[in-house]
Amino acid sequence: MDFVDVVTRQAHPGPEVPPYSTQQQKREDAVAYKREEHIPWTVVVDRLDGQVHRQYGALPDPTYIIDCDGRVAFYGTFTHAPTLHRAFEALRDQEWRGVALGGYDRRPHLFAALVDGWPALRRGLPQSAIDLETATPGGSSLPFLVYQFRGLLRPLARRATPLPATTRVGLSLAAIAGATALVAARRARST
Amino acid sequence: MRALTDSPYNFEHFRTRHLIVDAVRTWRLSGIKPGEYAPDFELDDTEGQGWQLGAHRERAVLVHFGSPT
Repeated sequence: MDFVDVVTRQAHPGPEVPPYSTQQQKREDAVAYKREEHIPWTVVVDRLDGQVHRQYGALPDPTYIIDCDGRVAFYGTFTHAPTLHRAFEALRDQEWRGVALGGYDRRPHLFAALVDGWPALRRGLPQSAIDLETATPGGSSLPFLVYQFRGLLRPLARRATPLPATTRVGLSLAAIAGATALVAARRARST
Repeated sequence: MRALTDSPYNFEHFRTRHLIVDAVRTWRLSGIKPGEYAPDFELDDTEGQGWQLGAHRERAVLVHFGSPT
C-alpha cells in the first residue's frame, strides 16, 4: 500500500503560522511539517484554495483507503490507526478490491488528539490556544494537561492495532475501580 | 449551513462555527462515499515533484488530509 499525506490549511493559525497566503508559503510549511513530524511517506501540497481537500469533504483529519481499482474502500472521518489497521487487513483479505469494514467510520476518536494534539497547537501560540479554548472550553487546556502524561499514554494512543479484548476489559475495570475509589474518597471527606 | 460555510478556506481564527461545520459534514459523510471512484488529482510533493493519484492504480493507496496545526 502507498501512503500520501495532503497538507490542507492552518487549522489553528497564530502569529508564527498565519493562514496561507501563497503557494510558496504553503510548500515551505509542508516541508517543515514533514521534517518535524518525521513523516516517512510522501507529503503533497494542496492548492491554496484547498481544491482537493474540499472535493474530498474538507474534514479536519480524514483518511481514505483507495482500492486497486481506484474506488474508496474505506473512509475514516477522524483518523484512527487501529481502525485503519482493521480496514487494511479486511481489504487485503479481499485481494485489495471492494468496500472494506463497512466502508466508513465516523466516530470521533479524540484520545490520540488529546495525547498528541498539543505540539500542533503550540506552533500557533498564543492565538491558536485562545481561539480553540474560546470555541470549545477545554479545547486547548485539556490537550495541554494530557500531553504532560504523554510518556504514560502514548503506547495506548499511538498503537497501530486494536487492543486485545482482555486488555480492553482490564482497562474498563481499572477505570470503574478508579472512579469508585474517587467517589468513595469524596464521600469519606464530606462526612 | 450556507452562512456557516461562507467563511474563507484559509481562515484567520478558529471559531465555534468551524466545529459545527465539521460535525455536520461528518454526520453527512461529506466527501467521496465508499464504493465511489476517488477523483484523480495531481499535486506537488515537498520536493517539488508531481504526485498523481491515478498513477498508483493497481496498488491500494492511503490518503490522509491533515494540517500542521
